[in-house]
Amino acid sequence: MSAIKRETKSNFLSLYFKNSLQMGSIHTLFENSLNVQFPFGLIHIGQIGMPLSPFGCLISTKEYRQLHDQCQPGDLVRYKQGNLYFYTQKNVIKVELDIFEEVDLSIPELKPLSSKLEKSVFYQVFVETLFSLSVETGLPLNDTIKEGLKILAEPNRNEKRLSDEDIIGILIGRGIGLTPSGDDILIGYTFARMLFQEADEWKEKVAAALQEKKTTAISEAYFSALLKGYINENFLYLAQLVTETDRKKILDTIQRLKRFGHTSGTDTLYGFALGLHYVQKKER
Amino acid sequence: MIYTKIKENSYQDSINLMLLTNAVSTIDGVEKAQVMMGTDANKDILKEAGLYNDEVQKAQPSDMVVAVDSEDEAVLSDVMDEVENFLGDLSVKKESSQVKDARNWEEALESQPDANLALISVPGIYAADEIETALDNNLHAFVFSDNVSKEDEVRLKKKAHEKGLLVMGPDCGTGVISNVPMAFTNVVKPGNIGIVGASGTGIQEVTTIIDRLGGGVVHAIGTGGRDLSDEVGAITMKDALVGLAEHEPTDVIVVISKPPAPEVRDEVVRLLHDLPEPVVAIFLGENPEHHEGDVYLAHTLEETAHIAVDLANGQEVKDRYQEKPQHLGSKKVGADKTVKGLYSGGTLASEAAMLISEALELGGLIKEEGFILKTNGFEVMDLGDDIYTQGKPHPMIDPEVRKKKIQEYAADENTGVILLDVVLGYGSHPDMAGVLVPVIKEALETAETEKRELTFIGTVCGTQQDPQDYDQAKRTLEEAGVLVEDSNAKAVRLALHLMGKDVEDAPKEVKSYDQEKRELPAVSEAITDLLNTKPRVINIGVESFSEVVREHGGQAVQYNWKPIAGGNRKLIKILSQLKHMDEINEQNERVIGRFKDAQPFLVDVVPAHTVIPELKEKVLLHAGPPIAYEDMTGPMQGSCVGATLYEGWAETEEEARRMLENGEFTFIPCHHVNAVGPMGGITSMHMPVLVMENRLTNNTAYCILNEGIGKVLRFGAFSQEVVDRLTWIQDVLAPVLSKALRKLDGGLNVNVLASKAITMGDEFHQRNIAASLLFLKEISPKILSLDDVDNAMKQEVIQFLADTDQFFLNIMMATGKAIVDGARQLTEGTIVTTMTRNGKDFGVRISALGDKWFTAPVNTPKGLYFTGFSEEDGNPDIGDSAITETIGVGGMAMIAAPGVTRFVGAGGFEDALRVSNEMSEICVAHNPNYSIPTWDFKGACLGIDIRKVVETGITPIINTGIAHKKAGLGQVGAGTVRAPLACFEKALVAYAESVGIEVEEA
Repeated sequence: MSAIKRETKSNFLSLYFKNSLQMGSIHTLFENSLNVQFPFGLIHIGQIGMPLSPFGCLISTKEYRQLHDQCQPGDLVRYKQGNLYFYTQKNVIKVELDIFEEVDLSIPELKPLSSKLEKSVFYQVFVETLFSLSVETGLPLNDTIKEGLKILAEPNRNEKRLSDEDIIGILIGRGIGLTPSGDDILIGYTFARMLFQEADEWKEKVAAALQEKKTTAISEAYFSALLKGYINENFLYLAQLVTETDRKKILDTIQRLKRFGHTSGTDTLYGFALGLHYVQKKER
Repeated sequence: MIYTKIKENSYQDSINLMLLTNAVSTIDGVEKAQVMMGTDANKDILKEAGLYNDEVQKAQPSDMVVAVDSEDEAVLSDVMDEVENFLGDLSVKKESSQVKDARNWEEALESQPDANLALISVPGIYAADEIETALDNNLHAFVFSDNVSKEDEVRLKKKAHEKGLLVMGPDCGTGVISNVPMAFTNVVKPGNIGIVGASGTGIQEVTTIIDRLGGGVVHAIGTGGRDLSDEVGAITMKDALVGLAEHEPTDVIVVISKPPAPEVRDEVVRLLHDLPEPVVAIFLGENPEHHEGDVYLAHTLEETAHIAVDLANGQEVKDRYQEKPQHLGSKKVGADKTVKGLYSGGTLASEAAMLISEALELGGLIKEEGFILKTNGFEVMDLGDDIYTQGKPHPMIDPEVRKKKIQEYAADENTGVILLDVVLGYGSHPDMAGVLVPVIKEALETAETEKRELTFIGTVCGTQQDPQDYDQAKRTLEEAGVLVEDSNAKAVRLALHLMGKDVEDAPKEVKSYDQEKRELPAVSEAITDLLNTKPRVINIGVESFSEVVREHGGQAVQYNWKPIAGGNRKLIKILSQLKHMDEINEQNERVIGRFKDAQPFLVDVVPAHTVIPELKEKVLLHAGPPIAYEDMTGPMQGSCVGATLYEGWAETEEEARRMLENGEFTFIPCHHVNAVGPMGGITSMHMPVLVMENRLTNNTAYCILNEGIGKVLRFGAFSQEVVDRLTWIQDVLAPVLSKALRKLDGGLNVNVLASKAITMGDEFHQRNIAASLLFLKEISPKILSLDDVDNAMKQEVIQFLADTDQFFLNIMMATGKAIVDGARQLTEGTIVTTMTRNGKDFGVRISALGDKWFTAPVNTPKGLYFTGFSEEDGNPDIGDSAITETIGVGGMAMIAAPGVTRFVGAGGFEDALRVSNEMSEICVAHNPNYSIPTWDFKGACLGIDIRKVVETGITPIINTGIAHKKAGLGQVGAGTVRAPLACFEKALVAYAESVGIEVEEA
């Protein structure tokens, strides 16, 4: 996961911007990144060196500072002919999105590897770290949630007290922050199942649940990208490690991902580990 | 009874005056009051208001007139206290802002060298000149001022177009340039919509609705209401549209106008079709049936905003945008009732009148006495119409007229609905809803008691970002029982609905437009710059406009404008024409070159008649421009008596007076014979004079010797003591000095001596002690070396020089005369070459017009009086000593001699600095020969330019001794005096005539 040197954008954005002219406005403005709300959803603008969001792009720090200093939430943003224009009180700032390098953040298909998963170093490391991840997760646990999380790892749920819909309903929007822990767990879990093509029905259930239950706009944007097959650049990197035999490298990556967000990284990894369990058990 | 107070030369902008009028009108005992500048137009208003009297009649355009109608005279003093408090608060506010304001165009341009826009809000009669100056300096003009003639508008817009500039306005009340609100404007989110609009509240209504719909506006360019007339031909609108077409961040263009002249309309609409962006156009009053190509034609301002926002969001335009009013369920009013509209916004009033007239077929709009509609009891008023705002605050600022009208209409039993607007934004009242509510509540309660139906419907034109609270304004009205709709169109439709008349616009289809787009003309660099950068503004007039520009990221320098030339139209015209004559500056450079390069040398002291052949028996020289004996004031007449006795032409005062009164004497101004004389300046044939050669121009000047202090001839004393001293000067002082001076090789170089003395605290009029000492230092060795003078005589002369602090004054006067006469050999330019006074008249000469005098009555000096004397004893200004100020020293160089400022009652160091800084405003250069340490070694002022004097109204300040007005009593004080402006004005008119400018009476 080396630092990216130049301006990049997720290939998912090309699905967003279908019309030549679209108007949005600044949704949230942080010290190091911002989100713009367009009618079709959010786009995230971070800085070079940060992991690329599936619904985002990365610009130079200098350019970001200018945006940060001049923008206010609510300021209008125009997408026109491949570029973004920020209508700030001080200036109209152009971000030349069309010349950014496009990065493929689509989730690869690793179905052929699922049979070897159980014996892989990758899986073993996750089995070992599952307990510590469960302890460190940001989700406040009660008996029902604990039971739900346990069920997530089980492919055979017919006799279980909670249905998929129940568990998804419990998790969506649960917890605090811009991406609540429940959402992160769900995203990590779904991602793992999607990697091994074990998520078709599950995705539909998640999509249906999102129609019913609201979560934060940023989480919704992550779900929206995920359900269309796109994930954050840093988590996508996990897919490349499935066949990795260097245990340390895998552990290092997990440690690094845990540092993402407050508990977001841990929560997503926890969900991912549950998903791997599911895939492995299903395979078995 | 009318009581008035004139505050001379106290200019305030119209907004401050309106606020001031409001403030004083509420003082107990004031029946009515007005605070205005003393222009002719304002005098007419005061006449109509019954607030006119003789004092008002005398006021000048740059004077502030405070006129009060009250039964109690003491009320005027309360009013003046309020005025002073108000002005005091303004100055405190200004000091705290720490931004240096400009006093003229030069300072403004110096302070904002990359300015691109002049925001002009000066009274209309002066606006054309300021627009012209803005254009001459390659600035766009945003003209808030109204009352600019159509001819001027056409001429200036043509000129602007040729230079690639925009004249926005006149009467451009509102605008947004690169997201910066200008003048009376709402704060609207920046976005991809660009607007060109003729009207004020039309732009405000459309931009605020766009904002509330989530859209944004990058530019809203006002054109003024006459731009689309036949004569103007939409010059500004066309240039602005072409500019917006090339403006990358603009995706949608909106045009707002009243119906244009037919030919202009065709031309503008054709241009709209040529633009690459989609356009929404509203020609208010027209009810279009379809759209055409990508030109979308709207019926109401609300529809205009909706179409614009959809286009800006890249969405399809709907065939209809008419949303239902929120309060459709409200109780209806009887069919016999009528709707009254009381609007502060002109275009909102027009829109209301249009919708009511269309719905009820009332036959269209009118424009008379503030009414836009007045048919069958249905009335819509524009309370911002001239008849309500002449000399009064606009109804967006001042609720009073509207409150009265609400009471009138509410009492009328035919009234069923009263429509109101509350316009927010910069410039508007901080809480208009709040101040209207008590009257509204009272009206509703009265109607209820009388069992009458009365409904108020309101609309608030504003945004969440406005300085007022938009939501609060709505709540305030709602809580008072007003049905508040979120657009004017909805408010009017609700009113009609309550009258039982529901109106609905027909859906509009888009008809194709088959003409090809023509290539657009190129956009000028200046317009591209205006549209792509934050405005860098020179704000001329209303000060609060500067603050708003700065708050929103623009730059602004405040030019505290006041009418030039005291508002005199004739002089303004002359100055404006002279500004275009670049050769004058070159001529002036040559003239002041003569001042700078002069080489004055004091070479001798001789009896006057030996060098001035005109001086014979019974001939006297006097100070100032020509004057007859009978017109002379006491001290000059006293000097004449003294000189007559001294020459032995009479034995007694009585005999001398009889001879003088009998016309036995000839009087000649010193200046006519290369001489100058202090105070009375009386010089007779045997009086010794200093001989000053100017070796640059080979001319010579003369001045009598200083007599010391106490009873002296120059102040009009003529006792034996005075005559004896004159005799001693003739017999002892003069011959000794003559011999000593001749011992100096080539004479005494005065430049060297003066340049040293000015660094030692002399200004050469009121303070000469350093120069006198330096002179003593130079001359003493020579005196002591004289072989043919006995020691007692040498001792007497040196003692006299040592005792006479002002001895050098007369040397400096001779120097000044030698310098100006050298300069006067050139007859060109507008530089003052002589200033002098004879106790009755102040006379000036200017370089171009040679020996011609321009005179005006002198002022009486103000200053400190010796114990036992007061200003009542002071003689009016007198003497040729103002020759020192003519060459830039004396009062002009007050800062060189801070010690003097106390003596002449002119304050302390800061005051001295202020005086010299002020004097440099009327001069063209600084004199490197007289470098002043206390002025950061800046040279003394050089070259008083009559153009600058007349333009600024600043007249030279002169340090002077004050003579007792009665002959024989001598000096009674010292002070300063201003040269009267009138002589400079006369000189300017004569100069203009001399260079072929037709000078017409204004």
